[in-house]
Amino acid sequence: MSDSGSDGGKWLDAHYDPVAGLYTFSSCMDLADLSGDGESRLVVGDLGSGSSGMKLKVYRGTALMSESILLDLPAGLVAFFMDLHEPRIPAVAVASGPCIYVYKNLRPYFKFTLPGLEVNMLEQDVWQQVREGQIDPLTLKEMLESIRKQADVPLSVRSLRFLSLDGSDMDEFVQLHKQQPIRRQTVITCIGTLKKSTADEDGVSCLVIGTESSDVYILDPEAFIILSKMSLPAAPTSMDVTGQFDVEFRITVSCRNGNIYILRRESDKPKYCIELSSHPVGLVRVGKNVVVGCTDESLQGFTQKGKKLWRTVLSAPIITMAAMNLPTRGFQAVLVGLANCEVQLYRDKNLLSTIKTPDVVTSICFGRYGREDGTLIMTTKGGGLMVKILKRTAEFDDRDSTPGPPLAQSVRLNVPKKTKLYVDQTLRERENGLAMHRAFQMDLSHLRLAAAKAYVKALESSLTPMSSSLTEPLKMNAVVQGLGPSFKLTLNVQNTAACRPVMNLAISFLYDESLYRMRSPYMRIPLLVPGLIYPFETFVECTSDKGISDIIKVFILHEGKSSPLLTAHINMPVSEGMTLN
Amino acid sequence: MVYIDEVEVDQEGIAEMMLDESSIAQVARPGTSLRLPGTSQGGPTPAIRLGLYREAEKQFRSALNHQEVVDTYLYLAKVYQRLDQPITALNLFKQGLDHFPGEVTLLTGIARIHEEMNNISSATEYYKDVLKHDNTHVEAIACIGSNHFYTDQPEIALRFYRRLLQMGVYNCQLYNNLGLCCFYAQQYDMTLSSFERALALVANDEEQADVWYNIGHVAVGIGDLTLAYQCFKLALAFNNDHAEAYNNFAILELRKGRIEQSKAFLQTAASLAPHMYEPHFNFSILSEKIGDLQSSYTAAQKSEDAFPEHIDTQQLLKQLRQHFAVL
Repeated sequence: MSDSGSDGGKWLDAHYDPVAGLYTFSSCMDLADLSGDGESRLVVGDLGSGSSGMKLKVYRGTALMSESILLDLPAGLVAFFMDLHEPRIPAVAVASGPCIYVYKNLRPYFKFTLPGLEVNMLEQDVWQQVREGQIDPLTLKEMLESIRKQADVPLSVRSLRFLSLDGSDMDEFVQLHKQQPIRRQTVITCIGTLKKSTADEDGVSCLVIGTESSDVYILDPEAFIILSKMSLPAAPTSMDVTGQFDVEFRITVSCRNGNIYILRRESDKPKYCIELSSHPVGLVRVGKNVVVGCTDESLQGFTQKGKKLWRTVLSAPIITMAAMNLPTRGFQAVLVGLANCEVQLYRDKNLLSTIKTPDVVTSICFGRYGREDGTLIMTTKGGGLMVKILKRTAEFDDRDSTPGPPLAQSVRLNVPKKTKLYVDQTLRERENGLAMHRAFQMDLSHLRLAAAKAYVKALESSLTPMSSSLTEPLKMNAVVQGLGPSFKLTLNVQNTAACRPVMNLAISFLYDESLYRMRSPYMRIPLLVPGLIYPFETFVECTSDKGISDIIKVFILHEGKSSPLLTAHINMPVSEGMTLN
Repeated sequence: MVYIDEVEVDQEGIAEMMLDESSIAQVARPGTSLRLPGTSQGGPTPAIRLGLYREAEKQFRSALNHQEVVDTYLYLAKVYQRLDQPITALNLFKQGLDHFPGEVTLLTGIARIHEEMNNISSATEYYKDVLKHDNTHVEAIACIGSNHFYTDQPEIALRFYRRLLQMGVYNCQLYNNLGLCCFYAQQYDMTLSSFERALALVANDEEQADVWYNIGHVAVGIGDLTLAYQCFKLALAFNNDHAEAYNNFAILELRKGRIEQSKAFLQTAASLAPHMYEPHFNFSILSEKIGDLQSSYTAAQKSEDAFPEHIDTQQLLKQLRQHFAVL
C-alpha cells in the first residue's frame, strides 16, 4: 500500500489490476455480503465485448471468487433482501432484456419476465394471413410498411426485423417465424430497490424497474407480482429510489428527453418535473437533494421538489457518477468520474478532493467491501479494476471555491522591447508626417493604376484560375505529381455557383511540343454539379533530356467560344529522372 | 547540364519557407557554399547520389580519419540529415568546429538545422556568430532580418535588409521584403515605391505572385479592399497554388456575400496547405454562421490540430460543444 500524492493522501491504494478485463458501468455494480459472514463482496455485471462474454462476476478481496455466464447484456444489477430467512443473505437481481434474473447464493433462483405489450391488431391480421399462405413476403413487406406509417401501436420486433431484411432473406425468415404468435416485448433500462415496510438496513426490498415503454414497475420481492405501475412521458435512463413502499416513497427518474421526473406513492403520474438544459449523464441523491451531471460538463443540484439550488461547471465531460455515503461519520458527497482521467469528489458545489487515475473511470461504487467501510471501487475504460480505501484520518474540509482574479490576468504578454531605432523612426514620422503622407498617397495612386492595368490584362486574357462570370462561376487548381520523366497532372475543377450546374465545357492545354508529350491534350468536362470538386487527370511525358522545364497552360473553354473561361499556368518541375541519368 | 551544388545543405531554411509562405518572399542567398566542385568528385559522393547513405557515411568517416577537411564534415552532415538524424549532424558540425574554429559553413549548417527544427531563437544565435566571422554573409543577414520581422520588430529587420541593399544585393525579393518591413515599421513613404521596384525586377511568375500578395496585405492594412481583391486575384493568376492568397481572397469574397465561392476557395486553400490553420478556422467560422455546425466543428478541430494554442479556435470549439450539449 502506498500513499497517492495527488489527492492529499486521503486514500490508500489497496489494489490495482489494469488488465482485470472488467467492462461495466456504475449501474451494474453493487457491494453485498453474499455469504452472511460479515464480509462484503463486489458483484459486477460484466458487459464483456458488448456482444459476447457477458458474465456475472463476484470479487472477494483482490481475487475473482466466482463467475457465471449471463445470457444477455446486463442493464442493471442490484443486491436486495427478498425474504426474512436467517442467515440474512441478500439475493442479486440482474436486469437484462425484458427479464430479471434473480440469483440466490450465486445460483439462478428465479426469472421474472415483464408482461407483454399490446400488439397491433392489423399487424396480427397480416401475419395470420401469411400463416394461411394468402400473401407472399413482398406483399407482407408493403403492408407492414403502411401499418408502420399509420399505426398508433408500434410494430413488434419481429416485423421491424423483417422490414430491415434484404429480399433474399425474407422467405427464410417468414418460414422460420410465421408459426409463432406475435408478441411485443419491452426491455428494462434501469433498476433500483425500495424497502418494503421497514427502513432497516436488512429489511425486505421491492424491485423498482424502468422500461423502454416509459413505465416504472414496482415488484413484490417474494411473489414477483407487480405491486404498482406508473408511467412516465419518456423512457427512463437512471433512477434513484428512497422511502418505503408501504409508507411513503419517492422515485427520481432521469429520462431520455432530458427531463427528470419525481414519482410519489399516491400518484401513477410524475408529481414534479425538472427540465434540464442538456442531457443528464448521472443522477445521485445526497440527503434530500438530487445532484445531476449533464452532458454540458456541469453538475447541478436540485431540491426534492425540483427547485434548482446550484450549478457548477466541470473541467471535462462526465463519464459516470456515484454517491459516497459514510454513515459512521455522517459524510455524504458525490463522486464524479471525468473524461480527463480524474475522479472528483463534490459536496454540494464545492470540490473536496481529486483522484487522478491512470485511465478513464467508467464505473464507481463506494461502500463496505470486505470488512472496510470506506472503500472506493472503480473500473476503467480499458477493463482495469481499482480499489482504494479511505484513510481513517482523512478530513475533507469544505472550502468555498469562489475564484479569485482570473489566471490570465497574471500572464505576461510577450511584447517586444521598444528599440531606439523604433523611437528614431517615430520621431522621423512625427517630423515629416506631411511629406510621408503625400508620398504614400502619390505612390498609392500609381500602384492602384498598375494593379488595375495588370488586373484588366489578366481578366482580358482570362489568366486567373477562377472565373467570376455569372453564368459559369468556376475555379480550378492544378497539382503535378511525380519525379519525371512522366508526371501526373491533376486538375481540380469546381463549380462555385450556389445551385446552377455548368455544362458543355472542355479542357485544353498549350505547351511546348518539343519538351512535353501529353496523353490527352483535350478533355471534355461532364456536367458540373455545384460545390463538388471534379478531378481530371492526365499524364505528361517530358521528352527533353536537358533538364529544363517549361510552363504548361491549361484552358477551360466553353464549346463554341474561342476565348477561354479561365487559365492556369503550371510550372512544371525539372524532370529528375532525366538529370540523374 | 544543370549545375548541382552538392555541398550546399540543400533544403531551404525555415526562415525562407516562412518568408515564402506567409508574407515576405525569398531572399536569394548567393555565396553560401564552398563552390569547389572539382575537389570533391569521385569517392563517396556518388554514394549519396545513389541513396546509399550508410555506405557514404562509412566512406566519409574513413576520409575524416585520414584528413580533416571542412568539405568532408559538410558531406557527412548532409548524409545524416538525409538519414533524418539532425542531432548527429549537429554534433558533427560542433566536432568540426573544434578543428576549424569559426568556420562559417559549419556555423551556417548548425543554424540551418536549428531553423528546420523550428528553434528559431538558437538559429539566430548561430547566424549572429556567422556574421561575427563573415559580416557580408547574405543568408545570415536575411535570416536574422526575417526573424526580427516575425518577432514584431520590423524596424530592426529593415536595418538588416538595408544592409543587404548596401552590399549590392539587388533583386525582387529583397525589395519585396523591404516594402513589407517599411509598411509595418510605419515608414510609409518608402513602402509602395519598394513594391513598385520589386514588380519591375520580377524574374518569374512566382515572384510576381508574392509581390502582389504582399501588396494585397498592404491594401487590406489601409482598408482598400478593392485593391486588395485585385491584388490577391493577381497573385492567384501568377501562382495557382498560392494557398494564403486563396485564403485571403475567400475572406474578401465572403465580405461581398458570396458564400459558395468563399467556401470553395477556403477548401482549396486547406487542400493546398493542410498545415495552415487559417483556412480551417475561417471555414469553421463561415460554417458556424450559416448554421452548418457539424462542418464547423470538424474544421475547428483541424484548425486546432494545426495550431493548438490558437485562442479563437478554442473559444469557437467551446461554444460549439456547449451548443451540442444544450437540448
